[in-house]
Amino acid sequence: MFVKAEKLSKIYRIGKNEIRALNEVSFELERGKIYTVIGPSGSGKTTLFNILGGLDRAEEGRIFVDGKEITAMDQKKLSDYRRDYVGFVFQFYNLINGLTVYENVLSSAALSKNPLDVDMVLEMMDVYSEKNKFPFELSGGQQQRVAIARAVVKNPAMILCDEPTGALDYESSKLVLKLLEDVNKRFGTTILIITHNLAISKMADATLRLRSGRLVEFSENPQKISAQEVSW
Amino acid sequence: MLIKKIPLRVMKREFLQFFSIIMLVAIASMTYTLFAVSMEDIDVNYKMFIKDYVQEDGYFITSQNIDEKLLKEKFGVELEERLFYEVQENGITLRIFSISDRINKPYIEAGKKPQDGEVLLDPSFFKAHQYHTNDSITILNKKFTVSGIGYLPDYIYIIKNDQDILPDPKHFGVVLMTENDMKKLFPALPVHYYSYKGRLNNIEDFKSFINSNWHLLKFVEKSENPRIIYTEMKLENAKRMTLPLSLFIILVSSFILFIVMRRIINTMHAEIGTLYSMGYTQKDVFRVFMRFPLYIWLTGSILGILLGYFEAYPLSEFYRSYFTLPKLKNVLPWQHIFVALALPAVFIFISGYLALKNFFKLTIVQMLHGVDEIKFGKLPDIKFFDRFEFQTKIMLKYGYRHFARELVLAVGIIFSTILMMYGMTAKDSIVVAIERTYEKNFKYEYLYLLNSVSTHPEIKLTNQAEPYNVMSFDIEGRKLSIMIYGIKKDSQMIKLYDNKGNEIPISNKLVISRPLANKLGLKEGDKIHIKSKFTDKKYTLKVYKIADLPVGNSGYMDLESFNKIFGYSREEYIGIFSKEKLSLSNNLIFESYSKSELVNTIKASAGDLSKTIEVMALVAAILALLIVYVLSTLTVNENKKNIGILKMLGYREGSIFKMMLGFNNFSFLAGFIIGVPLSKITMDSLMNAATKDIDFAMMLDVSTKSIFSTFAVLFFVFVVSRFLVRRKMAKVMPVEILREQVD
Repeated sequence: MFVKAEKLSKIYRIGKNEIRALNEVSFELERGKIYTVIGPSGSGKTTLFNILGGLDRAEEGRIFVDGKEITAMDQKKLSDYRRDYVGFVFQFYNLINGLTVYENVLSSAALSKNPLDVDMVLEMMDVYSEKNKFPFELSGGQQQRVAIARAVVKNPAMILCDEPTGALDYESSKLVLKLLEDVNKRFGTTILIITHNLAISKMADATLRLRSGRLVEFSENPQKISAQEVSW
Repeated sequence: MLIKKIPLRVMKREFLQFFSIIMLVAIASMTYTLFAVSMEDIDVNYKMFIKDYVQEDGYFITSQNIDEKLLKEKFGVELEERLFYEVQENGITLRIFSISDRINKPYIEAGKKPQDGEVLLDPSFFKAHQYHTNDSITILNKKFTVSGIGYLPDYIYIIKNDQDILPDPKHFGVVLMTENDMKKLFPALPVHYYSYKGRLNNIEDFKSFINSNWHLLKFVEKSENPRIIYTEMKLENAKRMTLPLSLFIILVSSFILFIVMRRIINTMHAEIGTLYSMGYTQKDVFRVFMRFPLYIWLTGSILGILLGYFEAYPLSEFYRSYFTLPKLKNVLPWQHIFVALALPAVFIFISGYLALKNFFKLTIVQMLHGVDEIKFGKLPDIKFFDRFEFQTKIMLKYGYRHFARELVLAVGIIFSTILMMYGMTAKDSIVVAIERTYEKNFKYEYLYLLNSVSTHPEIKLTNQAEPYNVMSFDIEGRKLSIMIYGIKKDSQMIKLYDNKGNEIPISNKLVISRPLANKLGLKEGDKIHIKSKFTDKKYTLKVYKIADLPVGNSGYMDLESFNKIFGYSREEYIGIFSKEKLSLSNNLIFESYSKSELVNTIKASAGDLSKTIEVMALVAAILALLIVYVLSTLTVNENKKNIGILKMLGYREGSIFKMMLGFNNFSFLAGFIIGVPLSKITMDSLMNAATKDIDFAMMLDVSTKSIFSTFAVLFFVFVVSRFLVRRKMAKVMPVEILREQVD
């Protein structure tokens, strides 16, 4: 098993109130598959994304990635984990405005032990012609493709996407999903997409449904469709 | 590391903001380098000059020829007589000395040591009259060849009279010639002038011994000689200004950098969070962001050092000609250049570090979602503001929210006011001192100091002239002296007034000058303990009144009482105040000068201060401009969204400007209002510290004209910077904000 989560819990304390963002969540993910995480706002999707990505810590429970317990890692090891295992794609792209498209992708490749060719990835994402532009000169769809390129170029074992189509129009969203599917197929990367959009679940191998911090459903999808066929 | 490119790109994008901070750092480094390097140059050359050319420890003038051997053996000091005579021709006074071999040796810069028939001229007189080597000069109808320029270690600040404020090379010069020529030109020299070098265990014994044997006319220790001590005082003054001035500018720029960096970090929170998520460590990100202070420091301080270093040499030359100091050695003070480089580094890096420190306490998730920005974006809630109408309420809230910024703006204006007022006051005070002292208080036209205290039966005084007596005293417990004058009871030549403008009658009671009273902390009715410089005799006198004289450590009483108290006969006197020129024999006169000549030349010299004032005004104006511009731009940048929304709601630009930046007007006014009295206090304390142990005192007066001029310049600069900021605000379009919000 590539990812194994055991009774993960995360509690936020605001004054005297406690909010249990994750409540004893357990699941297993296989290498090279696409997963979606769905659920209403406040269900714990982003918290799960943060913990799985080594951006935040769980209060209770354990999580193993490729046999390593990331919940036991110190900050330095977590940093190495993010560097070697995970690529991130955010809803609002989070590109570095002070760097060009090429440099944004290169800044990620530079951290990897086994990076992919930057030009090749840019071509794959269809943003090669924009390589010398700065992020603010691109459309939202283009920026998200650059963000995917930045995640992919490290050649990570897993890409975590937080609402990757949330800020995009329909056509751009479809293109982004197609690219994620291509990456999964071509490099065998495990992809986990957090989304409000139920239609996206149809292209996933399995879906985790969260509600009020609990995993209420883990459903495999034997009738998986391609990203091209997804519509809403 | 590729991400190290980020800071430079951000700086390019926010060019004017960073350029302004860089300029502030550059001004700070430049100020320090400029003053420190030029002062070091002057200081090193000064010390070398007085050591190598044997500056005297003092000089004295007697009416009889002394027994040098006896004096040397008894007191163990080196002595050298210099022949001395003063010639007044065509409104020019030439003080002529023979060339000394052991003490006060001349440094010859151009030309050669004069032989018979040749003279050396002091550099200022040489330049002022555009002489060249081998030109001829006529002294008492005898032609001499100018053999070159000579610097004297005891005539560094070349003033004619001890009480003069500024040198006047157009009307006064020092001439050196051979002893032979001196004797030929002046067969009967009225006095004997001696320089001494060496430590005296008991100076009072030394003076008494000379006085009792050869009749001492004048005794001046080095520490009382304004021609020497003014240089040290002015150097010390300039040194005292250097560090606080630079430190202040560095502190202001560091604070602004702190605010700017916090803003940048706030706007880049998600990008920094992303860098972490990609696997960059805190160390990596810290190194990248510390490049902001690094670039600002490097560019600003190197630019400042270069500007300061190259400007330091013209400034050194200016000081050199002002003090009449030769250049004996090229000085490259590495230690000051290091300080100019290191000083801004300390403050700028601390400010950069502090700006980053809090941000790094956030978790990556907080960085990604910008918790920090939400925290900083909340307006403080003060019920008091609710009393005002909406726009004023928002303006007050912005002022309160950005209190630290408003404070820096006010402090910046205070500082600019002080800087500008300092230059203007220096000029004002000299003009006031001259006008008041020589036009309001001193009614005579000519002053004659005679060779001896006597009843002078050979001199017939008309009603246009008055006799006076004068003695110099040490003030006990202080390294200060006072000149007490005995003048006619109903004197028409000297008029003294109190601070209310009422005339103080001259009586048997002592009246002292206000600068001296201030320096000694004396009030009317207090006692002053003094000791005669010549006889060592001690006196205690009660201060009857304090006269509103702007310059001088002086005291006055009527001549009769003066003579009685200090042991002279009733009719004796040493000098004459006169409304008309007297035809006295040269053998009788020790010193003389005309008041109108002095007033005019000093007023003209005060005009030379205009250049200094212009430079100070320019620096003050640039400082004010940069500070107001950077702080206001920051507010606009931070509030682009709010500006867009307010515009969208239909608010006019003027109203938005008032709401966001209206509080600046109060800060500006407060800064100026506080700055005016503070500049007076600062200057008074600077003057007191500088003149603490020397016989010089001057009241610093700030004229209404100077206050208005300073306000006009600073207000103009304020309006210009506001105009620039307003243009920036005009460029914020509501549609851009909406687009930003969609993204």
